[in-house]
Amino acid sequence: MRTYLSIHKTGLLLILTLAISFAANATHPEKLINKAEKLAFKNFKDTEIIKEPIYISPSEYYKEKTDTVFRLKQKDGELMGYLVLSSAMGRFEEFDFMIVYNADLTMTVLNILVYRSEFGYQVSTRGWLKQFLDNPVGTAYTYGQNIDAISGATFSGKSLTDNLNRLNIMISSYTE
Amino acid sequence: MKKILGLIAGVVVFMHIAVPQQIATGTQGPVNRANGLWDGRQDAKLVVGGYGQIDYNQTITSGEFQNGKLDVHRFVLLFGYQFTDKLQLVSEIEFEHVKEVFVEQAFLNYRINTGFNLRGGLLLIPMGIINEYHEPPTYNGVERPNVDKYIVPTTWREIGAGVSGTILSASLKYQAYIVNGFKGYGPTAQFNGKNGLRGGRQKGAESIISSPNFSFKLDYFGITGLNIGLAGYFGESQSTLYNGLSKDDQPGTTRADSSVIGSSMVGLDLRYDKSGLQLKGQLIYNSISNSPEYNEFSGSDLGSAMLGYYVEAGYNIFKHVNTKFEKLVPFLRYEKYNTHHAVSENLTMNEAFERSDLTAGLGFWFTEGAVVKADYQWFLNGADQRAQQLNLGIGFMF
Repeated sequence: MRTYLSIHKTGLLLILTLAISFAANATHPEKLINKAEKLAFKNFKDTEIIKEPIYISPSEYYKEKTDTVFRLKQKDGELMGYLVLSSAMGRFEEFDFMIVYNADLTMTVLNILVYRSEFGYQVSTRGWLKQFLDNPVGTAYTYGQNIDAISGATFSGKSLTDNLNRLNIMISSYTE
Repeated sequence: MKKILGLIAGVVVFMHIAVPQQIATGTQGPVNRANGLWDGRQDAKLVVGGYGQIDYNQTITSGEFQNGKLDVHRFVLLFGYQFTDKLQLVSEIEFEHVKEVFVEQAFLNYRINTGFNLRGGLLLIPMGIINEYHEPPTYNGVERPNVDKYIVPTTWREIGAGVSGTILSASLKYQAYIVNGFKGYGPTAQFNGKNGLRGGRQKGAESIISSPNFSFKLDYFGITGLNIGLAGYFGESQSTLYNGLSKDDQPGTTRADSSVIGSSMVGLDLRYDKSGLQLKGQLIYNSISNSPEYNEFSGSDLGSAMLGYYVEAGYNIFKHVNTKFEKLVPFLRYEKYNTHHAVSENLTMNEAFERSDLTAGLGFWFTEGAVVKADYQWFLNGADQRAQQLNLGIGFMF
């Protein structure tokens, strides 16, 4: 939100309204957001979590228009992390995935939510997705090197790897 | 651009104020349509892709000259069209050896959700690995395995309809189709001992049907790097002799019945790829009924059971090398396939149909879609006939 700080108060109010409008109805259907929310909340077990949309303008911090970002908080306002929904392109079709970052920005949940194509569905294998979890913030991933190649899903695997690198930069620069 | 974005943003805000109940209930309304402008997914309706392979095959015989063969073996163009978010056309047009044109697939797919699709048209029969995954950069070796030529008659496709889906939570993919079967007879026998059922493929070209067939495949991918597939194909072959036959014509019906065979094919396949190690294996068994009657009627020499398998191991050397290129994979493949695995009593088993191939080779992938391959093959059959071949090729997909 850096670029908006200089704008006066009424403008800020309008932008806030806008932010909520976009985030709430972002590019992912509500049903999918609900599904992601459930999976995200499960991660925090007994803690009651509130999700709150964040507006990051497209073009800012490597944000793509297919990204939907939420802040996850406890009732008392303590920041617990972030929920990100995004989409990546397989060989021919897009697939949707979700990430939960802890407050310290380590990725703790990564799930493929919708996989449309007939091919490359192997990216949804939990064991493979695990490679991206619990690593220090700023770890750069290279498909086929520090991330195992996955048979049958080269295009999707690469594309997801690239997108996770991008989203890691987005979330860490946003919270700087 | 900023002005346009601002305008759209304004419209969205206005809509929220104007229709607050839609925000509360989350129903699909004009808000989502406006958001569609931001949604890149709605732009790319036409998808174009393709794959191909250009080969050099050199038979090696001691004491004899042999011509080599240079061939644009196949060049395939893929066109996909997304009519709606749910309805999609998938098609592939193939040029084989430059001058033969085929439609390799052409079907409409209606996605009810990820776990359940309806589809109909010209479909690939899911059996083994190669019939569905036949883009050259997806397999080792210049030529496809011979098990996938003689036992699974790749590229095997027929017109049909059915269901498919991927259940992510169970790491399971399923496919089940009712399809047209092989044409076993018309105007003469299409099956034989050497090539099995290969000659009976109808490929959706003015195909005839007298009895529909059933095909299914299950793929499990829950263990990282591992894919296990189980496929089945059941049904009778098609024959032109039923056409125009009176339902009261007993001798005619008996004659027509002798021109068909029943096929029960099961296939197990395995792909494992982890930490640079690539393992592949496939086992296909086809039990054929009515082969004595078929052979006697048509004068053919079709076996009553066919069996084929292969095992392959490769290793990606570039896994441990810092390079901008994708893969360098030496590999070894052993195949055994017998179209006369079993024969009926009135047929002599032809030992030459029990074949085993050993292939050793190397593949260099510039990127995931472009590969240069080289390999050497040793062929041996049960009649102790031997042959050798050198293959060089380039393969690509995009």
